[in-house]
Amino acid sequence: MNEYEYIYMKKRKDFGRYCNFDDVECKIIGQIDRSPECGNMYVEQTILNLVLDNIADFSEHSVNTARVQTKSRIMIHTEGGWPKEVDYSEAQDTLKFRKRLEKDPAFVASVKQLTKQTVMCLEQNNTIDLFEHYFQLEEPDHLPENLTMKTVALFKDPSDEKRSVTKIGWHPEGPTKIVGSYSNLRFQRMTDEMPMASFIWDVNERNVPLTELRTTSPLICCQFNSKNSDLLIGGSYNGILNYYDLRKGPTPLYKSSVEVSHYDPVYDVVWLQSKTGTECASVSSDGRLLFWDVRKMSEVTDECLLTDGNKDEPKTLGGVSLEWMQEAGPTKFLVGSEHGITLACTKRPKKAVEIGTWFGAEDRGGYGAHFGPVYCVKRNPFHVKYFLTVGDWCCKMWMEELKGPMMQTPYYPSFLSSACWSPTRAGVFFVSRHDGRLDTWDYFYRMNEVSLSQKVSDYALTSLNVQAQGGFIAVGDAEGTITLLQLCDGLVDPAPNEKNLIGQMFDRETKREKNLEQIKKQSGAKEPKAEVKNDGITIDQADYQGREKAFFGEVGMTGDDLGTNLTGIKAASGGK
Amino acid sequence: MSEVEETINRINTHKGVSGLVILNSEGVPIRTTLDGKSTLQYSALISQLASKARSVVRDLDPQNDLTFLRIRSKKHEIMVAPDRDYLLIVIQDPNADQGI
Repeated sequence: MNEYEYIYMKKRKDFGRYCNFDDVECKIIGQIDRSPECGNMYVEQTILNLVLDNIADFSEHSVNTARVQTKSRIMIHTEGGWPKEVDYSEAQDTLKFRKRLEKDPAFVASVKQLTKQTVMCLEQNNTIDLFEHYFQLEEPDHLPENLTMKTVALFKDPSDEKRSVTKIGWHPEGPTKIVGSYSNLRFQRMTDEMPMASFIWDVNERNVPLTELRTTSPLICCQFNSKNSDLLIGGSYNGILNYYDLRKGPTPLYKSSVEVSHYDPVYDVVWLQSKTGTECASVSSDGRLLFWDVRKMSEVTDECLLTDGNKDEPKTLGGVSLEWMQEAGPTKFLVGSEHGITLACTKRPKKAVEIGTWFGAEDRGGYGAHFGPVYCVKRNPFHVKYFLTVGDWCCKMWMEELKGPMMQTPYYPSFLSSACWSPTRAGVFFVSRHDGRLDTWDYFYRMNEVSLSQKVSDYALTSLNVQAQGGFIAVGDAEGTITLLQLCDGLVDPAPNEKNLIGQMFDRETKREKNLEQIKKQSGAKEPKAEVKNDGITIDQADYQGREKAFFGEVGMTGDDLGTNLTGIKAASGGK
Repeated sequence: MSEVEETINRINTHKGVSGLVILNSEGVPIRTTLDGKSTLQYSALISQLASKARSVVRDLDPQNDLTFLRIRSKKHEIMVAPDRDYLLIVIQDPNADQGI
């Protein structure tokens, strides 16, 4: 190939100066001929893309829509579509317009055409039932596999500081309103700025609470009166009970006097059924069960000290849960204590309230107490003798006459906070857990495993209440959110004969427990004697052999031939 | 009796027919057998639905067109027969005789 060079010459003094370009005539300095061989040498590079990885790719995305605040507004609808020159409010004008249209031959033609089509459909409808329900009258079998519950609404605590929902109460007349008690139960974690009020929510209005319940100390429990839904009783952190009448506003109508009130937080409160509908009972960790008449809150109507029953030096047991049910007997109260024992109290008229049974108390012959406070005691609504307690990591099922638990759920990996029986299905109960899950047990279907476990919240669930019709559950968590869940029909509609079968199951378990107890008693009585015998075991050789001989003689055989003694064995083996 | 009236009467004699409305393309009720308020409601709502349904069909395939619309509900069936200029609505309860 030729070498082309061009020599620039420049004096040293011109270095660094700007170039001065001029237009010149174009001239060819050199040229390269094209060579086709070079074209043949052209090789296209193959593009290689190779990614090697033996780990599967995963990615996770989650999207949550922003909370939309909705509001109902009114809208006005007016008639429209009329031509400009026709005023729709003038009957004459519209009539004229219609008449004119009707005379239009196109109108007549299209009406005819359209009717033809429609008549076909009409006749079809009248001939066959297109949408016939085939299996309408057949009862669906119990389908426990498809149990579901879905979140219907969330009610968030409007206050900035997070408080937990300690108790939830349903409006007595249908699933319309919920009362949530908000407080912080962690010792000395309550700040001075923490808002005090608790709220009543309307189920259909999720954004703002219906009313607040004002109080000087946060409410831990609050319940609607079952007879008059305008009345509420709330137990507060400082031990005082607040009586609200919603007709009179959000401030308490009456408060219990400090002298007679609890001196620890009021953990549970229930309305009792009486003629006046004004009586209620409250329990607190100060170890007292107090009875009130809301018309006169300055004094208690009755009082019961919750002790462990020791005559010489009684120890008080702090109460954290309370159960009372009209059906089970209006005089009976169940109190769950901080020590894991459940107490049965009886309140007879004109007599001091006495404690009848200490369920699970070991020094009273019981067993199976919870290892922590009994956060919840609930009687089965169908078989009121049986009740459920929640404490530590499990639920236990008890019977009034037994000292120990009859059944219990396996231990959970997290603490449990509350439980509730289904009001419609005898064998179903719900359990709220500290890891944010809500578990449904269906004893009618199986007892070894949870039927449905649903994640409700990222935070610990603290309270739970099922609506009296059984279709809705309200669950409260530690961040102040109440979640309203709707249950599927399978969890609401009772299966045929369910009540009886569950009753039989409870009876069977009771019998089993009673038999076991009896066996234990009998063996307990025998055991010491057996030990004495075992001490000096001696076998009278002659007596034994004599008896053996007599036996074989009776059966018609000779003992020695059968190798029942050493000489016999030797003889037999030698013979072989 | 006019021809239109005759056809309307004929439709009305079918079992279970509880009402009939004829609208123009603007949704103005021209003929009706319902009372004023429900006529207004039906004409306003159904005309919107029908035009929406028509645009659905035509968006999917511009050569296509809506010819009939049946709305089955728990209580009755609403039959909508659209046309270029007019719209016929017939409300029928197919289970009229099986009354509970």
